Amino acid sequence: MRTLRLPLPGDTTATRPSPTFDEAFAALFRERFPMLYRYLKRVSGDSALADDVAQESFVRLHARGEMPADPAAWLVSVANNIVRDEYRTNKRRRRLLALWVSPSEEGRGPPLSDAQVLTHEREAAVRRALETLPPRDRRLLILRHEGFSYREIAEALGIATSSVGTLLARATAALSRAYKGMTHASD
Amino acid sequence: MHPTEGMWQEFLDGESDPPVQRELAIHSDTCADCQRTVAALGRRQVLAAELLGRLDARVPERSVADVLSRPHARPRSSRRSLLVAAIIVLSVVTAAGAVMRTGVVHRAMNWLLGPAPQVESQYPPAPPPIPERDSSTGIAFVPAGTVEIAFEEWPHRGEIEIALREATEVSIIASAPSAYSAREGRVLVANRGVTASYRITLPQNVPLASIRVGDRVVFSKRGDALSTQARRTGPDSYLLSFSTGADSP
Repeated sequence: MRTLRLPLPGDTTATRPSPTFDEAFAALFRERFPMLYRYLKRVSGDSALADDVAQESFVRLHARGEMPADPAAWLVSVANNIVRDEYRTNKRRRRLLALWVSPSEEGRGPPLSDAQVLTHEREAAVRRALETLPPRDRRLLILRHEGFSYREIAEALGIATSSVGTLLARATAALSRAYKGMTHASD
Repeated sequence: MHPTEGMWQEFLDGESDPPVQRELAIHSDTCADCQRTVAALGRRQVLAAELLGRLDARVPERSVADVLSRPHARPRSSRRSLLVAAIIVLSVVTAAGAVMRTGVVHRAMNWLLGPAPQVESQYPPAPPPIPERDSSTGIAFVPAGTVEIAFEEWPHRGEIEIALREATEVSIIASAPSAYSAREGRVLVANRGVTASYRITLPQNVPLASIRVGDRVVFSKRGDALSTQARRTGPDSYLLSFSTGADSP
């Protein structure tokens, strides 16, 4: 559930004092941590990074001590900035790692079943198709897939709410084209 | 003048303002070009949802206490020093690696810098998820022969309009976000707790189609033979209305 519960007529909760920051933070965490994690994991493909950045974003919100006007958009925006910084500072580290992990090393570990191999291949094909899209479009699609509203997406990505529909339609078409192009090319 | 693709996208996502939503719904009833646009958008949306759903995103168990007890981000300068130190050690390991088995170097790299993202291929993969959108207001697909549409529960309010058209796709458009799961010609509309009206378009030439609401079959089509509890509102158009207190049409 994304929206806060509105008091109904005769609802006794309407007369209760507003929740403290910690209560609101805990509720937001339960509701939004999974969405933020999944968004980051799907954008980056890196579960450790997604976990770290999602937690860090919540730590920063807690350190702020008050809720922003749109907490969901604020969290995504902070998370995007952390990822950007992380990629900038660790660019060299990532390049070295990429050079060092040879395909033969990657393949070590328990052998995969046919179904597991197929799942990996299907995921890799989607990731390749996503990578043909500009980063903003990738984020847009994944945020929408995670159930973020147009207003939240606009706020998080710094675009006009009125443009979200058009950009989404184009990004969806581009993803569809890229994926079909890849699957046809591999036939 | 036709509404733009962006406007139809907003319509499908339930993000248009209610008056615009109503105007678009009326327009889509009469404009074949726009019906094609909406169907194409719906098809791409279903494909995108299915593709994005393939990306593994199992969420680790985390609590507020876990997150708040973790050490705050290290200052950037100390991160940089650590990175520089790691690179120096890396160079030493690299030199050693020239005469050692690469497996040792790889383990050393992992120990120093943590596993690289590629190592995730060793995670046990999740089975491919069933395409499902909890934020979608529409779905469209080309039927493979038989179509079965099942609404989870009998709604207290709203309408289900069924239209038979010269179309190649089945489409369901809702006035509020609803969750759909589709498999082998069967679409489940998870409408529990959702107040929405639905417009279902069925191709006229679909040989077998049925629409079930809760445990009742409200519409069925076998060849040209129709059986329905819905009110006929026009040539090939039928309507089921629901309101609180009246649990049958």
